[in-house]
Amino acid sequence: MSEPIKQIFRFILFLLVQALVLSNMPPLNRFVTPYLYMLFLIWLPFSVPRHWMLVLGFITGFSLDLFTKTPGLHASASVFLAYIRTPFLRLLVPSDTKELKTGSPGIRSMGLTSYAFFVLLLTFFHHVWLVFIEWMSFGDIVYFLGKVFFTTLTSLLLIIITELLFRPIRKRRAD
Amino acid sequence: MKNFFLLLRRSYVLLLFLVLQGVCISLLVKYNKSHQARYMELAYDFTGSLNKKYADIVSYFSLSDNNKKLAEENNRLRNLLAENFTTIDTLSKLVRDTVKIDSSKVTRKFLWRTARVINNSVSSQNNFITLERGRLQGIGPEMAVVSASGIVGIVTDVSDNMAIVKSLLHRKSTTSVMLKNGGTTGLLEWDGVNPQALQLKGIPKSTVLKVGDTVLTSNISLNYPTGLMVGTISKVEKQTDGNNYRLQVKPGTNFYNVDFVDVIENLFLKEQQDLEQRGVKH
Repeated sequence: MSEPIKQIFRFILFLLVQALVLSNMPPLNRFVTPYLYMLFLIWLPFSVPRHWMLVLGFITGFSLDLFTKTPGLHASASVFLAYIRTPFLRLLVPSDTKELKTGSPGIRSMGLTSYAFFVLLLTFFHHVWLVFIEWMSFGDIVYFLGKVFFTTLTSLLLIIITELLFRPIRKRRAD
Repeated sequence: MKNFFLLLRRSYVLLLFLVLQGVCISLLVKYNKSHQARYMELAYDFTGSLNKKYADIVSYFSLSDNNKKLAEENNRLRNLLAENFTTIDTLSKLVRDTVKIDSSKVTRKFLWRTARVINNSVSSQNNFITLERGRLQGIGPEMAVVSASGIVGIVTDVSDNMAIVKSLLHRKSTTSVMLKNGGTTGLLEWDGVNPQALQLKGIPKSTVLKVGDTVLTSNISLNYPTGLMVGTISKVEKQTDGNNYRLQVKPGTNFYNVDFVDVIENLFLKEQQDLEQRGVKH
């Protein structure tokens, strides 16, 4: 499958899972709303130019907003994620990595430690931004900190599961 | 020179970032201010149709539950039928009415329409419900939405075939309600914490009440007909300061699985609002 088609397919899949399942199910707790859709942005190839990254971030977030009826909320958070993604990549990936032209972030291209750190940071900052905007209309610091912490935790759990299901390391090594 | 271009290139991305964030924030502010954004209609029609397909699938899982609820409601309505009542009154006798004008004429005030829920949220601080009925089917803003077991919310925005309802689980939702026992009126709000606990404010401490008392819509509510089920009092806290109770109400509607609802139009709403507006001016 060619790269753009693969990405579009992935975009639709992540969006539907997020909008119809994760944002729709009864919450386990008021602090916990798991997010997975930003994995689409995290998994985009290294070679995507930065301004396209921003535009894609906006489109992704806004599409989700149309489902959740919060125009601007997720869009803002995912644009922020798209903006900080490149600096983090520069920080974590050595510039002589040979996959930098063709590959995308993953355990194989970045190494387990850097990749885990990369995902953790992006997810965390995305949630901080998202919950901060949501929180602006009613100030409750416990709610803010609690929601950031627990939502990040559940999202990371989901990301690990997705990672294990769809991008197993052993198979990637074989090819 | 090279440095200048590098700088320009760099700030170009930052500029784009700021512009996009500006768009997001303005959308958010505008939407939050009015709870309705006309330009979103088209998009909602699309996501609404997608949500409908999804709801079709999901509704299979709750079929038996819905049947049970419908049966219960049928039972309740049958009990209200006129045949169930009889007057044992031998004093009255039939008299032919000679007055030409029918003085007992009634005018319809509330019109009920059924609708189906195709999208629903309980997880956020401001929850909305999407109905599969819109402007073309006669739904308009400010109409009340009730389920078989309690009130649900108020319609805030309609497109051609969809309507969006601000549910009781919304931080800006206020509903005028009264206690069934005694008729004291108060305001029902939600603090955004627990979907099973709404806050009832403005009930003075002199009122006699206990946990389990029924709360109904009040007679001064604009949107809802009087006396609809709202919920039951689940917790009574006496504040040390102030004259009022702090009450928690468990909503009668189960917001986790609300499926079929009735949309109620108050046909006198505009007239009442106009009149009250005029009263304010004088």
